[in-house]
Amino acid sequence: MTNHWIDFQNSDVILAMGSNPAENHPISFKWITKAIEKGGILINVDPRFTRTSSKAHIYARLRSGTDIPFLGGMIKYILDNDLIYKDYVVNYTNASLLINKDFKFNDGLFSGYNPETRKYDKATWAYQYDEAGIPIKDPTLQNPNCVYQLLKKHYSRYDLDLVTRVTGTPKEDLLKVYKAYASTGVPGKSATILYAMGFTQHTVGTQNIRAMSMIQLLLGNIGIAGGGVNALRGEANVQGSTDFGLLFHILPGYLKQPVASAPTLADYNKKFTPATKDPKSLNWWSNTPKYIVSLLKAFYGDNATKENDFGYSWMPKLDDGQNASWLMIFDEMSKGKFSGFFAWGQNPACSGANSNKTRRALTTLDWMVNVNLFDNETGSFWKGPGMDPAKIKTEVFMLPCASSVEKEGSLANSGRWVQWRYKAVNPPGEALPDGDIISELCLKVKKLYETEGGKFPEPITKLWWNYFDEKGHFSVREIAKEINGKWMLDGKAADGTEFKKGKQVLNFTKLMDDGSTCCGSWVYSGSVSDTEFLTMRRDNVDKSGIGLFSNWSWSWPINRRIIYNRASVDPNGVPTNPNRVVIKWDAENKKWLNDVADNAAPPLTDEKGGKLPFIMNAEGYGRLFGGGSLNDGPFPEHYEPLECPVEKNLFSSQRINPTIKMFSEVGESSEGKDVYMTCNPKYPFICATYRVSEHWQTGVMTRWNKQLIELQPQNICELSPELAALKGIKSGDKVVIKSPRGQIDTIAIVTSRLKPFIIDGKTVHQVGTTWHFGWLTPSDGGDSSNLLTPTVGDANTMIPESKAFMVNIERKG
Amino acid sequence: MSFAKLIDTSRCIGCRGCQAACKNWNRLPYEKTKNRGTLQNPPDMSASTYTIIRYKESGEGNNLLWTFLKDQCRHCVDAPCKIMADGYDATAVEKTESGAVLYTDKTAKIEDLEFSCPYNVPRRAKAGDPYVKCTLCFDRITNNLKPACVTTCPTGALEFGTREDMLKLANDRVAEIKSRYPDAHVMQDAKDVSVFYVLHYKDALFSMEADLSKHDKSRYASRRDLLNPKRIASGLSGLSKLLG
Repeated sequence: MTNHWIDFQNSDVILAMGSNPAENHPISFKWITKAIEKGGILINVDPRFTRTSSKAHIYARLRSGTDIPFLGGMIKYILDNDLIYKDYVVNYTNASLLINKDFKFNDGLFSGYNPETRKYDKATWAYQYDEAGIPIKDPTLQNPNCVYQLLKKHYSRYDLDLVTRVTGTPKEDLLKVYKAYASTGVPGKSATILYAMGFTQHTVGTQNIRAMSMIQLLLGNIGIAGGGVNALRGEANVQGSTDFGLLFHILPGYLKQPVASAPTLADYNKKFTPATKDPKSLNWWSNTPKYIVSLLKAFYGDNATKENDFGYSWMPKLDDGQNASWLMIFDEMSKGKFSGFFAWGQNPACSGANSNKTRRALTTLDWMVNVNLFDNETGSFWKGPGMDPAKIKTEVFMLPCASSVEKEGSLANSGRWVQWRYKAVNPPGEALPDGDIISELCLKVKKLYETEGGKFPEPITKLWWNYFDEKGHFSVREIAKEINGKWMLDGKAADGTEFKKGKQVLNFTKLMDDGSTCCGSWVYSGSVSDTEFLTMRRDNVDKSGIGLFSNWSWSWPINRRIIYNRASVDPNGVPTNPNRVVIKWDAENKKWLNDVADNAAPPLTDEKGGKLPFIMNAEGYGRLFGGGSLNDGPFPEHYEPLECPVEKNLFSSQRINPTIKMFSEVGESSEGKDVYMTCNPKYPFICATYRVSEHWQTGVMTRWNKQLIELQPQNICELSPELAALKGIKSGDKVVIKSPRGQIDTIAIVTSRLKPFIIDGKTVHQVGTTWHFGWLTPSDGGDSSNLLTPTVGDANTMIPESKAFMVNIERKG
Repeated sequence: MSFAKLIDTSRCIGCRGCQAACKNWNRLPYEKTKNRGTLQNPPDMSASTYTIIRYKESGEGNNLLWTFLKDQCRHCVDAPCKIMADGYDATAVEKTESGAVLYTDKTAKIEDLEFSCPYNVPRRAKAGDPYVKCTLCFDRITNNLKPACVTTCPTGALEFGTREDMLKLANDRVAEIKSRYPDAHVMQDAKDVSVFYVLHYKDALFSMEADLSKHDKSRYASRRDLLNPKRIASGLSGLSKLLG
C-alpha cells in the first residue's frame, strides 16, 4: 500500500473494487466509516452485492474478469471530459514524454509480439531521448507520439456502449461511478482505490491494478493523503513476506533475483541497475550495488569479500526468463521432478489452483515436511479422497510451530508499518517458533555439509549464522538488528561520518557497496538503532494532523507513512491541499516538514537539487505508459478470462491474454487435468471463489475452531433467484459445482444479491463459492473450491485465475 | 450509575465480531449448526448464544438492501420478565443499578418466562433449567470495562455509556445520518430499554422480533397482581382510578 488503512479517513471518494473490505478486512471499515461520516462517498464495484455494497453510496455490478473495460471506460470518460489534474499530469507523470515512433497497437496486440514464444520484444515500448540522453517532452500534450495522445487513442475504443456490452454493467451505473470518482481530479480532493484478490486473481491481474494506478495518476491522487493505490492485505505479514523476497523473482528489499546470464556481481549490477541522465531524476534504484553487496554481507559475513565477489557466485540463479512460480512448482512436481518439499505455514492441497493436480503432485515426493499449527489437507494428503495410502511412497513429517502470540517478532501490516509483537504465552507441547525451527535445521544441514562435503557446499557452509543471544538461544532480535544493517568494520564514510564495527547503520542512505556494511533488507534499514527497536514504539499521539502517527511503530521505508509524497506538493513544495498536508517545504531551513519526504532533495523547481517525485522509476515520472515493465503491454487492454462465457472478445480478435503461459493437456476432461472450457454448454456459468468474514484462507486456522465453524459450517454456492429457478434449486439445497477439473458439494444460498448479466445481448449467470473448506474437517463442510479452479496465471505474477472460470451446478439428491 | 448500549445499524457491517466476542467472554459452548441457505448462523438465540446478528435482504436491483441487526436482551427499564418473575420469586430476576437485568438460577422454577418478553429473548436449554441471556457484561461494566461486544466492534456500531449520554448520542446520530438515510430514527422503545437502536431504515426492513405492546405494564398487572398479594391493593386502586 502507498498509504495506510488509517488514511482512508482522509478520502473524499473511496472505490472498493476487487475487494470486499466489510467482510474480508473488517477493521479497515473503521476508517472507511470515518470517511463516510466526514461526507466521503463509498463506491463498490463487484459482481455480487456484498456486506460492503450494503454500505456503499453507489454500487455497480460487473461480470467477473471485465475490470479493464470498466476502468478503460473511466479513463476515456476522464480524458473526453478533460477531468485530469493537468498540472500534476504534466509535471509528475510521463503523459508529456514522447514514445518511439514504431510503437504500435493493432487489434489487441502491441508492437513486437511473437506468437510462437507468446512473448513481446519490447524495444519499441520506449521513450524518445534527446542528444543529452534525456526523455523528450511535449508539455502541451499535443504531439501524436506523446503518452497522453497514445493513451487517448488507446482508450477511445472503450466507449460506454461497448463497455456495457462486455461488463454487463448498466450504462447509468457506469456513469454514476465515473462521475463520482473523476470529481477528485482537482487540487484539494482525494480518492483512493482499495483492491484485493478481486483485481489480482485474473490472467490480466497486474493490468487491472495498472489501469487503476493510471486513473490515480490522471486525477493526481498518488502521494496525497486520502489517495494512493492500496492493496488490502489479506494475511498478517504478507507484506513482510514480499519485503523479504518470498516470491521467486526477488530477493529481500525487492532486489532482483540473480540470473544465469549475470554470473558475476559486476554483471548483476550492470543488468539490474537502471540509469538516467536526467539530473531531475533521483533514480533510487541506482543504489542497487550498495543494497546487493550489503545483503550478501548479511548472508555470508566475513566470508563475503571483495575478492570473491562478496559470495555472489554462491547465490542460486534462475535461468533467464525462468518461471519458478507456485503453479510451476506443482506442475514440475506432478512430473516427478522433486524429491522433497517443505510446506511451511501453507496448505497447497487446498490453496493451489486445480487442487486435484496439486494433491496428485504430492504423491510423487519421497518426503514432505509440513510445518503448521494444525494438521491439514496437505500433511494428510495421503489419506484424502481418492488416495490409496498403500500406494503412496511419500514420507510426511509434521512439525508443530508456534502461533503469532506464542513468539515475538515483527510483523509488517497492510500499510507497511513494521510492528514488534511480544510473546504472550508459551507454545504448546513441542511446538517451536518458525525461526527456531529454521535455525536448528540450518545448523544441522551446515554441519552435515561441513563433515560430509557435497557438490556445492559453500552456499551453506559459508553462511553467517550468528543469531543467538548471550545465553546461546536463537534470537529474532539479533535478526532484526542485522536486517537494519550494521557496520562490518571501523572507518569513515564518504560524507565524513565515522563508524565503528558492530554498530547499527543509521539507515539505507549509509549502506556501502565495498563490504563495510551488511543489511538484511534495505527497505527495513532504519528500524533498529543502537539504542532502540523503533518497531517497538507505541506513541499514539498524532502530530501530523492527518493521522500519520509517525511515532507509533515504524514504517518502511525510513518511517515514511505515505509514499511518493513529493507528489502531494506543487513543484515549489507547496501542499496542493492545505487542509491535508502530507509534507511541505520549509524554504528558510531547507527541509521538509511533517511526513518523511520521499527524499530530502528540495522541490522540483529548485535549480540545483530539485527532484521529480516518482523516485523509484528511472525517469522520475509516474507511468501512464508502462514501458517494458510488464509482459503484456504498456497500456492495459481487455482480454477475456481463459475460461469465459463469450465466443469473442468484443475489443479485438485476441480472445485471451496473448502472453499467458498455457498448461493445456489434450483429451477429455478428468479430475486434476489441465483442461479448459469456454462457451461449452457443459459448463455454462461463471464462478468466482472468495472469502467470508468468519473463515481465513483455506481454513486451517479457522475450521478447527468450533466457534467459527458454528458461524459458517459448510461451503456455499451463492446464486441468483433466476438461476435457481432455471435449475430447480432452493436455498438450503445441496448443490454440486462442477468444473472440467473437479467438483465440490456445497449448500445453496439463493439471493437477489446475485443477478444475471446481459452480456452482448445474452443472459449470463454467475455463481460464487468460498475457498475455506477441505475434506479433513469438518466432515460435512465440503472440500476445497480450488478443485475447480484452472491452472493458469497472470501474465506477470502467475497468480491463478480464481475469480473467473466456468462451471455447472446441479441440485444433489 | 445506569448504563446503556447503543446499536447503530448504519455503521454495522454484519461481521459478527460481537457474536463471537460474546461467546468468548461468556465461555458459551458452540452449537453444531448446518448451513440453512443463509450466511446467518446459529439460526436463533439459545441457552448458549446470547446474541446474534440477524440479516435481512429486501428490494431488487438498485433498491436492494441488506441490513444487519444485532439481537439481544434489551435490559428493559421496567422489565416485563422481572414483573412476571416477581410473581414467583422477587429475587429470581434482578434489575441492577447498572441497568443490567440479571437472571439467577431461581428462574428455573418459572414457567414460560419468554412470553413476557417483548423481544423473545429468555432461553433455557431444557425445561427445568434456569433461564439465561445477555448480562450486559455485568462483570465487565462494574469493573470499568465496556461489554465484550462493544470492545470488539470495528466500526463503532456499538457504543456504551451512561443511559443519558447514549440517548443523546442516539439522537445526534440520527441528525447526522438523516440526509443520507431519510428514514433514520431512534427506535421507539428507547425510553423503555437500556439497549436501544438507531435504525437507518424503517423498522420493517430489519429482521426483528418485537412485540412492543408487551411494554404496556397493564398487560402484566392482572397476572402480577394475582400472584403477588402485596400488590393487589395498589392494582385495585389503580383500576378504580381508571374506571373513575
